[in-house]
Amino acid sequence: MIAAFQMPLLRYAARLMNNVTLAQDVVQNAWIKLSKRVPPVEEPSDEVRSWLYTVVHNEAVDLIRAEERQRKLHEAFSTEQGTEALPETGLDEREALVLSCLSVLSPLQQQVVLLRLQQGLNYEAIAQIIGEKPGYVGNLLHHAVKLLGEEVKRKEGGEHELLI
Amino acid sequence: MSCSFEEKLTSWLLGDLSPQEQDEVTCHIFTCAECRKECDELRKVLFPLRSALYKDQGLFKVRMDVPWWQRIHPPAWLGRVALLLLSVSIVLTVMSLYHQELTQRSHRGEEPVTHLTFRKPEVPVTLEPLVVPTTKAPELLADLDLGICDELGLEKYVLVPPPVIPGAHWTPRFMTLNQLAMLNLLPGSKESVHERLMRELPEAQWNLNEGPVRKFKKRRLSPAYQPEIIFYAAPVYTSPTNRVQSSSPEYNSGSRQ
Repeated sequence: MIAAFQMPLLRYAARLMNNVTLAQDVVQNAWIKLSKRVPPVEEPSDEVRSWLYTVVHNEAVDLIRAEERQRKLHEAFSTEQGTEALPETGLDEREALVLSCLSVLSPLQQQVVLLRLQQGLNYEAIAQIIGEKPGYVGNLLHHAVKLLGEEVKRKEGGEHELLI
Repeated sequence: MSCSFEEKLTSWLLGDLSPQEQDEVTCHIFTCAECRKECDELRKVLFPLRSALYKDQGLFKVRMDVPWWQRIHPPAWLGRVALLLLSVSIVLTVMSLYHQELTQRSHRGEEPVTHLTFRKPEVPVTLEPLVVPTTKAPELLADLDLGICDELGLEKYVLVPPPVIPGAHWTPRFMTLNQLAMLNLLPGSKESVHERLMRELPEAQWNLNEGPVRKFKKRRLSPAYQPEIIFYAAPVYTSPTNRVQSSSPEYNSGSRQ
């Protein structure tokens, strides 16, 4: 079970939170919750996968909201605890720019983008995770990409103005 | 943008639509300029985003590729146990090698060197009992040549017994006048036997011009022949009137060195 879902969950949580250490904590909490499920889960399945992604997302969102509330304290905490930011290596300039704009998306949009583009899930699986219809997943994904494009344009325009 | 196909453009770019919908959107894009422009804008974001997120596959790869001995954190006592086992294994190895060496030595017929051994003496040392010096008067020996007395014309003679030396390991022997002469038992003296005899026994009547004594008459003693102890027998002077007379009273009962 862990061998099947550990790495995808870690990547998903790390991109959601943009932090490796916090992602590990979130995934660890998800495994703890899975171990407490009744009846116990023994075999990996689509249902378990959806449940794990949902739990990881909820844990990440809770943590992000808490971070939003205590941003300054959290920044100090991150510095003191030595939390490890997500390394952005092997990316070209355009890819890094687009990734840096992910934070403008809502948690649901981020979830859909990551589940589709990072985890490679289809719309049915994503819909099962987020609890929506598959058609709504495409709509969410389109608006997320469009919003990213506008943010990228805005950043590119700002840089262009700075250059001028 | 008010095109109804706009919501499907992202899914069309990703190929997530059904085949029928894919064809419909494809045909529409050929005819709709706004949708083509929108597709271009979406492509500029969507493909770099997909590529960047795809590269997340190696995000935790380095961490999981850490060797197992760096990932595990054994307890502290495990190190001591390992050290103890290593020490025991070293001792056992040395003992097994030693046992193997002993076995090979026994096969070769060599004695194992297990302890220090003293080599047995080739010739056993036997201590002879100490000869207790006797205080008895020595007996006459077979080599006592009494013929010299006859040759000297002596009817009787007195054998002066040698002194008994405490602690001596040899048996004292009598020596005759002949032996005294032959062995030059008059050390440190330049006088000859005949002169010595004449000095020691002035009253004796020596027939020095006859017999074997003559050849000792002028003989000088060499220091190389000096004995440690001198024993000699004193002859007894005989006179026509006094049949038996000691040449010197002291010689009849004592000894002289």
